[in-house]
Amino acid sequence: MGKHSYRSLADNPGEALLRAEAELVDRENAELRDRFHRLNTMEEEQQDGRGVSRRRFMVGAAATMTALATVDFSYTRAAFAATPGGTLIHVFLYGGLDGLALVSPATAADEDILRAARPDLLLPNSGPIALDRNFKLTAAFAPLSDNLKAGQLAFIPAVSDLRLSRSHFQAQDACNLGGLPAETGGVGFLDSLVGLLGDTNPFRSVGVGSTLPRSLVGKNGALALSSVGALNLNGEAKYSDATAAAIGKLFTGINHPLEESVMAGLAALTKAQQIAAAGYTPANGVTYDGIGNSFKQLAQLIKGGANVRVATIGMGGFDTHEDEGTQEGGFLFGRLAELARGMAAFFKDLGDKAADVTVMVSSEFGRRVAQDGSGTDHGHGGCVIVLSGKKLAGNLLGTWNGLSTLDNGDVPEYNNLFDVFGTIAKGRFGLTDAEVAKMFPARTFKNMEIFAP
Amino acid sequence: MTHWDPPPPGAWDDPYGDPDRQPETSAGRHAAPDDAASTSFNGFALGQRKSDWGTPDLPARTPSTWPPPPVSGLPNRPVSPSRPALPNRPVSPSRPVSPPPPPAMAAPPVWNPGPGPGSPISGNRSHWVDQSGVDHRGRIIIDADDIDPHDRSADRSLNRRRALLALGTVVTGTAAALSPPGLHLFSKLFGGPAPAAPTKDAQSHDNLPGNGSDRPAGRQPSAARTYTDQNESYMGSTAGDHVRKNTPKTGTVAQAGPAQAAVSPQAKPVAVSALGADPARHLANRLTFGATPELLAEINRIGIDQWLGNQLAPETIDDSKLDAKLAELTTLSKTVDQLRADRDANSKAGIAPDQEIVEAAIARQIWSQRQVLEVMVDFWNDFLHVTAFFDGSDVQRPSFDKDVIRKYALDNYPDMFVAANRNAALLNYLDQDQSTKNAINENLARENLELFTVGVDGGYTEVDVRQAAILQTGRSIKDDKYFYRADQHKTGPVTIMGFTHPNDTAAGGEKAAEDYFRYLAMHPSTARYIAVSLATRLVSDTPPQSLVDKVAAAYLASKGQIKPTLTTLLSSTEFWGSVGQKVRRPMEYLVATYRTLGVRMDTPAAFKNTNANASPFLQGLRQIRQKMDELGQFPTGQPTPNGYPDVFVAWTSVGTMVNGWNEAYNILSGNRPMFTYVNPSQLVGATTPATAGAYVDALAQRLVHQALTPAQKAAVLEVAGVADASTVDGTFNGAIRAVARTILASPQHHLR
Repeated sequence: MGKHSYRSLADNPGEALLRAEAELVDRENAELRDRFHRLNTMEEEQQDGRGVSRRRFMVGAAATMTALATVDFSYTRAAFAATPGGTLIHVFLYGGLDGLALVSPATAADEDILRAARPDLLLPNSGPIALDRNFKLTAAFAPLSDNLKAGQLAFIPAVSDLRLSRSHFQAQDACNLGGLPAETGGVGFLDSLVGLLGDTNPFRSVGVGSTLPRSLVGKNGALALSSVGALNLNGEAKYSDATAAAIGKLFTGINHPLEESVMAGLAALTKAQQIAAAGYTPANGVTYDGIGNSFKQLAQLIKGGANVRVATIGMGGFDTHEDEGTQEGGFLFGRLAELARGMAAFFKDLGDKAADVTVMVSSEFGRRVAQDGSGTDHGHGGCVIVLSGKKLAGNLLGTWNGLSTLDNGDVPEYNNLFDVFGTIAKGRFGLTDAEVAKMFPARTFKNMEIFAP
Repeated sequence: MTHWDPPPPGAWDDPYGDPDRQPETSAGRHAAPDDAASTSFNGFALGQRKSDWGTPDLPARTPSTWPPPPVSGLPNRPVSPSRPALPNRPVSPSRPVSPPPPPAMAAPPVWNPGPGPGSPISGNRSHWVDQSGVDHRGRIIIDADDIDPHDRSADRSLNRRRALLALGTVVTGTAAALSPPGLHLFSKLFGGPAPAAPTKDAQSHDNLPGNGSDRPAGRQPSAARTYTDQNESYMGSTAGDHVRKNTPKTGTVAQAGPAQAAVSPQAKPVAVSALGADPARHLANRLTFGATPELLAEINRIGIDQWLGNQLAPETIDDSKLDAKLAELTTLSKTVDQLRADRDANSKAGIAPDQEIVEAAIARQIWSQRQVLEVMVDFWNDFLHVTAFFDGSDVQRPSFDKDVIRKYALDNYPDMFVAANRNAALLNYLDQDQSTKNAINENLARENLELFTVGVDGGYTEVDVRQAAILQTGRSIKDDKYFYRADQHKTGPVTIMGFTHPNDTAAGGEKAAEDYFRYLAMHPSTARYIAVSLATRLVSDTPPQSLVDKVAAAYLASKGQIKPTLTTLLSSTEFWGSVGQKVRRPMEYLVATYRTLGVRMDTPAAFKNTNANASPFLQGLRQIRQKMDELGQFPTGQPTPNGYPDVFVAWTSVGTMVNGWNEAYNILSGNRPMFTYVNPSQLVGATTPATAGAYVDALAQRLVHQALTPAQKAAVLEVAGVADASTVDGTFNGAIRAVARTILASPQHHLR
């Protein structure tokens, strides 16, 4: 433990002692966490090696192609002239991220309001990162400092939509559908996007996890997977291809929509097995921990040439009703730091390929300005994060009119969530306004300034 | 042994009048909020809503012949003598009369399935880390910020560190003023100044009117017309349309019970399915965790009605073999106080009571004879959901399993719901113990409404949520058990969704809240939500409104009793006509595979146990739990309070399917040596069938209990690379595991 003077830790010895001990414990905990994550990663890597010897499998690959070609894939797509490249990744933070714990206005007036309303939930005093337009960013996001300097990282505060309530489910569903059920025909907005892109390859739409997020559910088969390495049929190699082919035939014509899902999965299986067979070592000395492991699956797919167009990652634990902990060592600080590490590692791992990738991070709502005990209640306006290989117009984007007038104690909606999503999708894939309107029906799309011209 | 009097013939016919008649307005079900100007908002048309329907006026009930009493003393199923008799159900004390629910609708509700989850709702952060695979065992990753104001742990230095960390975070805020929580902690640890009164701004917002938001959605969740929950949302997609087409849209209730309903002409499936319409197999698929040859033989021998009657009296079913094995999970029988006392010793020995609860559930799903009970336990675990692992779960969670879910799984929901709100696990999980009259935490109050009773569409407003949170104050935890702190209860009259109470004494606040819970549990919206959820689990991912109405009515008529409600569902032709429309979720797929392969819980003599603290059986169960975790589903495992999604669209994951297929192969290979396996070459018996084709037929009958189609059979033969008429040995010329696994990857094993 390094030397700390009283001055640098706190105003008085008592507090300094507390701080010093807190730091020590935090370091121990961090070591334990690292150790666990390393063990976790090791175990995962061992699992990759289970089953079929990769060399033996590749011999049979040619036969698989023929066998699968005869399987009737029941979804058909109109042919498009060109399939745009690039990948859009939506990270959904479940629970309602407290945007003010991430980026905080630093004007005197707004800071007075925050100090009075949420004295325990301010950004850490040490290390906040200055942003444009008199905002500051929590030190938890220090891992993304390089990306920030390179113009790849931006924050949009006070984002919401008037139709979002304080119910987790209702708000998440509305975010994922791009509106209300009747308006969107029950189709997830990312599924709409996939439809617009017209890509037909099996990995165009990927959800990392064991369940499919609602945003990917619709008309185009999306894949959910937790680990690329696990997409590999086990057993003796000589039966592998025939098994996959047989399963396809077993599910043909069963008069149940499960058939479509299975076929989409089998179509991806060949490509997945090729990618998995190559193993995966992150580039540039990158290591992944926690949520980073989800990013790692996408890195493996993207670098493996799977042509992922749209992907989702879910991260939970943001419903901070108690012990929110915005300061260093606090709970929310730790979650945000884990997210930042994952995002930074992902972009570093992608290297050049990051130029074609955009990550947008959002939550179903923000939280109330005033603290409630040691936490906060469900609110309205929240923060969206953009990490983009394509340069952004600034690092604090959208409209901001201060905290002096709140919406019933909530951060107001200064920026509409679907304008944000639509503008990002437009910038990433070169869509027209009319196409974006298809993703978010029943409203008028308004372009925002997000990407640099 | 009947526990209730079922309604007479004719009671179920059209309790609401013509179910196909449209309501008077073109939009949805629920009353518009008080704000009269809510027809549109900024150009968005909002659904006009009528008030929730009232309790249907059913004729008085007379006994009927259903259900038949369970027959004890059958020659091949002795009643275990060691099972204690059930205590008499306590008579509920008379309650103050609550005002009736809002007046009945003039027109019947029409559930609009039309056009129209993925995302699990996040629960309290302190009890779950994230969904990407990080361990949710809070003790392995010490949650540095987890202060414990009640100082449960005997390890004071660890606790002090945690408190210091939290204090550090508080203290390093504004140097000028220590906030009330900080002061409280400081004085707790060090002595010192009493906590200052909280400032107005730092106070809970219950001073603000809940309807103060500019937005209708900010005032009331159902003002923005939404799906009711994740299940309905997922099925509002094209996949949902297909299942809807395959599901019966109308039906009747057979007065003589399920067996009569099964053979009724109206029970004929409306869609061809990969699963043929064999009632016994359909019943096994839906009301157990998977068919086995023995189970099917039993149902066919004693008949559907008798089998169900027995299963609905699980205490009369001998489960002693499994019970003996479960005794090896030493914490299952412990009380909360014993678990507290044993905490350190358990931790040192690597014994985890919260894990053992999950592992016991897995064992029961696979091996219990009381399958219907276990199916209902799993259903309630997803409906009234408290996640398996959270800070303190090692001591608190087992009681929730025993005293709330299992105790009432086949009994009645109002008692279950009240018991849940008197259980430390739920109060901890949803922050109720943090809610005090000066800092009111609304988390449990909201989820009590949204998830556990009336549903997000039940018509409650944000004012209701806040009023409920006020009413619930004082309900807290002491020594890991429920404890009511009258000094923390906020008094004052409350009105919540038509329930009113003067709530004028702190001491009376406990009972006032429980009156409110019983009111909610018997609210018509709750009946509807339970009916929809039950029908989704047991009938179809798009349950027909005709069935939902009947099941909801049965729930209300029986005052929330589960057996009559379930029996009504099973006596409905819609249930029998929905063959093959449900899909096994990952946990269910794995359990059904264990069951159909006849894996036994006996430890082979050759197994060498090197773990002094865990029997081989327990070790095997742990491995299965970890595999389920990998697949994304284990009993009570969902981190968020809404439970796992119950519809197939949510679970369409190529990763999970491949993992499941691989695990089927591994089980065929006897991968967990703690259990006893049938040699794959012996699955069809001692005699090898004459031809490869006949072998595939026999394997299909044995593993999926029906024949494959000719095309499917040909596909399976291609795996082995042999012709239909060729001869193969018992090992299918070496391909037996590959062939059997392929059959277990068929729709016949995935659908249920």
